[in-house]
Amino acid sequence: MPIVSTERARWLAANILPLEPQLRSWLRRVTPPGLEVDDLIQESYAKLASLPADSRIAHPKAYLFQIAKRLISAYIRHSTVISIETMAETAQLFVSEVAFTPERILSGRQELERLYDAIARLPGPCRTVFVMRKFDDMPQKAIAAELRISENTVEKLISRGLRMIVEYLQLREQHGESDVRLASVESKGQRGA
Amino acid sequence: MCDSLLSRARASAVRETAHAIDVAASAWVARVDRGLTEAEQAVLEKWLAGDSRRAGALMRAQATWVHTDRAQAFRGSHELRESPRARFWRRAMPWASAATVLLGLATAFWDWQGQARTNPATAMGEIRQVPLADGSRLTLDEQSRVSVQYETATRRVRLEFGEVLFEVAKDPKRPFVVQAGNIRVRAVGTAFVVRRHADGDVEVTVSEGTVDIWRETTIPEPAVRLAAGNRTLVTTKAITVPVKLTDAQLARAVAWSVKVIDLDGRTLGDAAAELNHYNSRTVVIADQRLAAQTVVGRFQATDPMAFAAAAAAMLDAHVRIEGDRFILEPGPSPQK
Repeated sequence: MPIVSTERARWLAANILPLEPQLRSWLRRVTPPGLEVDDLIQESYAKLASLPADSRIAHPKAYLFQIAKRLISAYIRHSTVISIETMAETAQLFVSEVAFTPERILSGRQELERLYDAIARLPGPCRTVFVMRKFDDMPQKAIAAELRISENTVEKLISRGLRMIVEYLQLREQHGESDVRLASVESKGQRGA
Repeated sequence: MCDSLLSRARASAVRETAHAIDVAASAWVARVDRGLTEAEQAVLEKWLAGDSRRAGALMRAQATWVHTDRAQAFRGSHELRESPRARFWRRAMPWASAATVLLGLATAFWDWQGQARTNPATAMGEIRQVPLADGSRLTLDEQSRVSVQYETATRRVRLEFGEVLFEVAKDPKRPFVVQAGNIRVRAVGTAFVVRRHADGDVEVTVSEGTVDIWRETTIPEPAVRLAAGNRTLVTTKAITVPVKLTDAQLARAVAWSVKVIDLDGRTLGDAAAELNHYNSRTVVIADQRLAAQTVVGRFQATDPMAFAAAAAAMLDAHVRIEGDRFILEPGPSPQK
């Protein structure tokens, strides 16, 4: 299984997934017209996935933002339609990286609460299968036998459940950001209040 | 890859959406989880080669899949488990009711609290602060675990492995004792770091106050007193002679526990106010409009100078130093 290394996934889960809301909110501010935030995020993960499994990255946050920044810079360099204003604005925001330090403090509780929420919202069948797979560590085959459903159905339910969890975690991120976005738009023009 | 990003952006009408890729990636993770056939393996490789974003989406879905292993923490939750075999397909409500979710959250929170009180732990790359009921605070470095046992007469914390900074609230009637194997470190009101090496040796560094160190052995042993700024190594054989650390060495010893302020679009004014809580040297924003600008980044709470410099670079301002104050003013530096 050369493509999906569990070790790498574990590293990403611990070091990159928690940073995604920040990356997303930052990208919303710096992504020039013509590029999509979701695409940039997938491309960034692709870069991380292509690293050798044993490479040690000391400062995941700085590294992640560096990757995203390079993707945008390359786009701006190659693009003929980007305005000078966009370039200046993007360049200015990049300066903020100077302040990144390697320290990282996670709120374990918040993460667990989010995860609980995501699982609790799964539709019944998805959740049952998911709980058996993750809580009881049952292989898909065993789950199928226990529930007397086909292995194919188990696989579909797991795929759907995972998809919903990914989506739910994203929704939460986007929701939390709306205020930030408003604030930054306001401060760019004249402040409303 | 960047060229493909560019060409894709131009031909945006025909490209596959990020969403569609995410859906396919989840399906692949589920297949990988049950084991791929050789034929499927080839299909997956072909799929991945088709678009650079796909490998990223797969990696991300896989990471989320691994992340959900943490759900083990809710294993005891009846809310999540409830649906039994018989009711499998007949659940009337596909979505948990809001009440169930709330109750579940409360349970999860309660469980977590209970866990934090008894044995908080950290994974690789994680640093965690654990406030305790008496106002003391533990900061766990990555891959550490402690077990907290507060009794009426003694506050006991067992360091199972790793490294922990203990900031102990003063309570002379109730000593604070750290246990690492048979080694004991007792404090009243102080701050110190205990690091338990894999071989059982224990390193103690005191940054404030004093602590007493001894080993629980059959033959009683006199305690060794360690004052602020000193470090000692306790082995199975002996408590070695303490070494006096320089200020820089001491700062390095606790550097991993330094408080970081995460600013993600907060105003400069807010950020400066929070930073000023931690420092005697303050950051002053001279201009209202500047104070309302938003800033992004992570800053060490104890480094106002770095914060001021970074903010100035970000917001087209400059820093004027006046005694203990870093004053941020709009526009370029007048000296230039």
